[in-house]
Amino acid sequence: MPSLWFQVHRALQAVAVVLQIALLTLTARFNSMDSSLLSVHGTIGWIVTGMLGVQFGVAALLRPAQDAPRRRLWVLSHAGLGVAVLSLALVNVCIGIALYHRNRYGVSNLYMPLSGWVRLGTASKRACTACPP
Amino acid sequence: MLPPPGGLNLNATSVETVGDTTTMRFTRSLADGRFPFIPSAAAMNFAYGEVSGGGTPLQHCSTCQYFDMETVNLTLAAPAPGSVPTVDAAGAASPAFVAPHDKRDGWWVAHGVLAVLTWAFIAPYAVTFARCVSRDAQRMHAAALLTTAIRHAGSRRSGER
Repeated sequence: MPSLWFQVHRALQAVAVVLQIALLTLTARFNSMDSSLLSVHGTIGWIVTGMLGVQFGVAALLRPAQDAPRRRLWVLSHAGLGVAVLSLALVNVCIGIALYHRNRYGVSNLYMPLSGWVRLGTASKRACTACPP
Repeated sequence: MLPPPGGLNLNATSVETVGDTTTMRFTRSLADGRFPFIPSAAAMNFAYGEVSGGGTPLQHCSTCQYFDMETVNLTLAAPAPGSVPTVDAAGAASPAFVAPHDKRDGWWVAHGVLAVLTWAFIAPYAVTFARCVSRDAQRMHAAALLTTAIRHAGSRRSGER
């Protein structure tokens, strides 16, 4: 029986994959637009989806046993890719918010969502007392 | 997308004049992505330009109806005889312009909400569970959450703040 943290981790990642697929299907409703920032947003979105697929599918299937010699390498690569895909996705969310504001209100402000994200990250880090230093 | 500083000239794809009002449709220009969004606070002038070019009478939009992403109907006062209707989005103030929310705004918002939910909450929690939280800390955290929820429910029921 896998431990609780692993089950929660796996379940949350599965939900994230389902939501990512759902939000990707919503993009079919949008018109093709001529904004370079929008194409950057779309490109990053596809890259994030690909990385998420690798992370969820391949990494989970190739997971070695606890005492296997390749275990440490797998943990490092899985964690590294996980942090990379999360960071990239959050930057893309910020670009998306800025794009929406620019298209809707004529204001293009990347700083606003980015600063909100940094503040959220700082607060989360403070709240996570069990994090290793 | 705001009009460029130098102005954006669009030719209407269809023009209908009924009584005192003229309705111009710009279906192709919007579908081609040249003008994907018309912001609610758009600063635009709408004008008729003369075919001959001499003495262009500017005429502000009286009411503008915004139907969806691909069609904008601009209802203007009757044009001068012989004039060809065009729209000049030159960036000047036009207080008469009112654009209700776009139908596709809902899809944008749904996309954004799902993205924020996925990447600002669910994925970070997944990473946190994998990296930061030991088993004991998880049990303590769950117990603290449960205690807080019970205390909160109890204080609401008793009318405390």
